Amino acid sequence: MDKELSDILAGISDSISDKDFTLATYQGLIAAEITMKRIEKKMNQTEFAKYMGVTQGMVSKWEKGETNFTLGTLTNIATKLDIMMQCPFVARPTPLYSGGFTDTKDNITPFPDKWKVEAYDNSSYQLVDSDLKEM
Amino acid sequence: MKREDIISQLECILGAVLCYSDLKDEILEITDGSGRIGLFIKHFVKRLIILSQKGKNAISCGYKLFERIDSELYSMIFLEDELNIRILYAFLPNGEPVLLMAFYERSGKRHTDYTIPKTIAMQRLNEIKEGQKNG
Repeated sequence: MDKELSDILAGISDSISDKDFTLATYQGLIAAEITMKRIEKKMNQTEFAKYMGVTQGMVSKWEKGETNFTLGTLTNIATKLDIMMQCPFVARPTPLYSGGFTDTKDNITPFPDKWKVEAYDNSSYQLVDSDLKEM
Repeated sequence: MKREDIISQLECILGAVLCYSDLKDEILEITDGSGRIGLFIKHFVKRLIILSQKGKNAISCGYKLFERIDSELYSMIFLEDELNIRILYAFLPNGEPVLLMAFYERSGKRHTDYTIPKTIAMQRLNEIKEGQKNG
């Protein structure tokens, strides 16, 4: 009956590539941020364009997600509107394979021998009087 | 960049947004074959971000994006790129938005007749509310 949004997004985006999906999503995210900032400032597009030092047509394109922004333009917008920026590239966490470090599944660097630890077995260990005295 | 990564990022940004299960098929029916799914996703993400940030106040971002159509129902409007799509949504008692139905607005930019879509959306909203009550 009801579904999570993620199921809907995955379902409707089936026919486009991961690259096109990523691009469309980032265009939407940026367009939303700029639109909300303009509304927060209670400005129409013409007033906002003057404030930003661009044309109204340019603001319209920003808000429709039609601009292929340069990093310089994005930085200018973020600075002027006090929007936080973060690097869109994030290192993918790598799974840890037992027995070594890895940057890829096929490229495992074994741990040095001196790091190896014998399995700890406490089955034969019993408290004796000397242990208790120390405690 | 994989689609699942982007969808996970969006989930983190958007928080909980529920959808009626038929929404995916309705959106695909409207956009499929037109090669406009990428455009739709861009505009959809923009609206979802604004909706998640502003909640019921999203309608303050302009009649070209959102409008209130009765005491409980709202409409997400897609006029750009001649998409002419409307998505009706509401808010659950806990304040979470729920997307109920999508339809193609044949009359384009002219005033939309919501009579039939409203009836369907209300039925779906009640179904979801009932489902949540029954766990």
